[in-house]
Amino acid sequence: MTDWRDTMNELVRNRERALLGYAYLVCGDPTQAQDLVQEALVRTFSRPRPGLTAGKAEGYVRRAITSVYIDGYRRSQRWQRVQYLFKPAATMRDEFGAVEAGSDVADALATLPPRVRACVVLRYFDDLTVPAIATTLGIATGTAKRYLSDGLGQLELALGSFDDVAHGDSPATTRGAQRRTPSADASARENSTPRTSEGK
Amino acid sequence: MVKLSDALRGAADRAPLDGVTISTHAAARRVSLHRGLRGTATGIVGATAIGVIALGVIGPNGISSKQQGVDDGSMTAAAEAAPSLQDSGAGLDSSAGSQNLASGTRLAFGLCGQQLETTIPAMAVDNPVSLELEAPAQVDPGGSIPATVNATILQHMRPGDENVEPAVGPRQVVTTAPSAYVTWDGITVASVPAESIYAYGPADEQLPNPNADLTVFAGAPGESQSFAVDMPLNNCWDGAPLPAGKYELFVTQGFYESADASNATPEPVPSETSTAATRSGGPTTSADEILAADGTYYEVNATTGFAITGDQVDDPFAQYLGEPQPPVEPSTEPTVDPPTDGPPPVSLPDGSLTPGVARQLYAAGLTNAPWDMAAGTQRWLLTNDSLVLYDDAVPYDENAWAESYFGCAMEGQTDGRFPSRSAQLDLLDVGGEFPTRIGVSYGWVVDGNPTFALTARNVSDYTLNNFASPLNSQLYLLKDGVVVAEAYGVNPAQNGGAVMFSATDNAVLGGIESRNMYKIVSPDAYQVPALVPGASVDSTFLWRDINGCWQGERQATITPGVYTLVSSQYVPVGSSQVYYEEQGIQPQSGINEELVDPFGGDSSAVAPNIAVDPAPAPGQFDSVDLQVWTSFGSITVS
Repeated sequence: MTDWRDTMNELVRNRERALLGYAYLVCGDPTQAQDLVQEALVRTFSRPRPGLTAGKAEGYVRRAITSVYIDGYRRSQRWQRVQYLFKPAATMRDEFGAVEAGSDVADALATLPPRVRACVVLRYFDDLTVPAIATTLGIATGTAKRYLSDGLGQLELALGSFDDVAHGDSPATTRGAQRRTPSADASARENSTPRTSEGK
Repeated sequence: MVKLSDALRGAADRAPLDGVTISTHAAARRVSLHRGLRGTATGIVGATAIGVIALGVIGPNGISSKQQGVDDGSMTAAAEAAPSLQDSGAGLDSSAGSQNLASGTRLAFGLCGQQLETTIPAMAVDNPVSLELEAPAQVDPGGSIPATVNATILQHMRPGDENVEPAVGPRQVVTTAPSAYVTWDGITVASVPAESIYAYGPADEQLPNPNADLTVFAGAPGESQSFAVDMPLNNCWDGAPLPAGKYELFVTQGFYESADASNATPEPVPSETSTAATRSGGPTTSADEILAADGTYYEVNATTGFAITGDQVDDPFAQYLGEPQPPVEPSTEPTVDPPTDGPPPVSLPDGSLTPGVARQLYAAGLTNAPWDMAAGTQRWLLTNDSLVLYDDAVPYDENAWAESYFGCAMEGQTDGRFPSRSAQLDLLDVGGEFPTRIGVSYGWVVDGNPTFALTARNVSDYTLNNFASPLNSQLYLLKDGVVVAEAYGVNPAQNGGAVMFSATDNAVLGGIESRNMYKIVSPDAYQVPALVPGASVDSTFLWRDINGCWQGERQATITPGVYTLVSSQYVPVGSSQVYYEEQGIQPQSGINEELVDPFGGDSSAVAPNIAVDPAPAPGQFDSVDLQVWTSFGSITVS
């Protein structure tokens, strides 16, 4: 007889790596990814869902990963308790250097604020529409658009242009680009070199 | 050009996740708990059931006899209960309402030898069902205790969402036989769980459980049905008769209410019940049809005390309660295994600050006086306590964190001000050296390449084990006492984590003589094994950025001006494994260290191994988290 526990086990057995990878993309930290998937599983299976199969459950879990991530960022007590384990410095990532180097999309993603990062992942990994993103994250459609615009602007600064990014949201017309004024970039460049050289 | 979607999928595939796994055991345990928290009861306990028509149909588990009828007396009692609960705030978050519901809001999970008490938050609607439990006050040893559970539909739910207004009009409800548990001193000592309503078919389709003794409520609110429970008085370990003493009998019952059963084709109720049924009207559908429809599942419980006559003995279950026991069959939802065999609880070395002492110190230092945040002053907060957080008897309050939270205001849930109650402790002296002025542009610190230093010195008489090093410190900028921005220092050593320990006496790291400085290469360089009295830890950081607090949907911009600079530093006390245990993660069992001379001198000395206690077994931990806040006075942002 199959019950929710069997469904959960099947899902984790077959899709553990994929779920963790997705969560890593969302949060940028392996340990936090583990926490996200665990929490998402609890959320997904805590509610009786008639006819839930492992395949369907994966969709629920992926949605829950992003919402758990955002909720955790907002207010989770447990996350506050262990936040020092997940703070950016803990991963030893030089955020500024990552933007300058533009070496890896994961590094570039890590420079984005949590909600911006979630929007980008939902849009370009999950292929959700902007309204669907807004619904998933519980934010206004306009806000989701702005987050996407900001996020894409910052990613393209680091990684260059993308084929599948609509140019209506291109960095040149976004707040993300505007945040990078020439003077700010100049200052950043001035500061980036010695910082990188000290990081040895 | 590449596609961002492809790049993201590639990044997910290449994620550095070696060794990272998911514990379905831990997740399943929490799911079981959450599923158990999906209902509540009216709290009517021990009410007299009158006029029950017993049918004597023996349930498949051998202990339940389905009875059916309309109980005018109990209906009246239930009907009276509902408005009284409404008046007292039942279903609300108020403590008054919760207290009134207390006797009916504990749900049984029934692990043998485990505490049965599980307080659940009240639902945001009035209770859909009342359970009345009648049982004799005294019974003889060696037999069983006969009880009657009378379930009355008070109102129908709007299916699919138990937190909204109840539905209007008749709907249909399926229930199964009650699960029964006997507790002694709150601990399950006997149990007979019932089959759950649902089972799952080969294709994971949800089906009525063929082994469940399903009963249909087909009418309007007020319909009542009764269930007989004959609870054997044998313990759940080896079946020995329960000794004389005072006990409690718990019953819990699951209900499934369909969304559209009223539109289903009417069908006669099963023959064994229809002959004696006196239903309150409405079309009847089969349990299969009801369970096939969308709906709401909830559980209700009730309890009453009883005594087994005879000479009472002291601590009658001592021989069973000293060690983990194998699980018993769970109630309506199978639950997970009890704690497995594991190492004994972490015993802290002599002289360590223990959670108990920390609680005492914190209580002694508590003050309601506001923190003026003068430079050099401190305040302490107790942010987590395993006794509260993981005690099933303590109701979980999802907003309790705000009472000890200071930081960026979380979506308006806090006012951003320092908590009104905090403590003054002589435990950890946190010092810092900061620039008096920094330039900030778009969140980046652009004034040259500023650094700051933090030092944490143990000024107590206790050793701080698993001390969170200054690498865990966080900085905050305050305006008028309210956090407006936060910042982390960046470790200049981008080598996977290194902490410099400058000892002021002979021992910093769990007994290591520290005539040199140590570079710790550790999976968790953010934690120091032990900080003995008088010892200090220091780190220097680069100050790269400042993050304005998120306010609603936008992030605050840091404007030029004078701010108050404060830092926070966590001081975990105890086994410090609560988080890991909860998540099913075993922490690193040790660290690697190498002795180095940061100034290029002789580093040939060999550091001794550092003993790190193993993780405690699940459920065997005791910890508190303290957080020290230190003000460093003013800083100018230009």
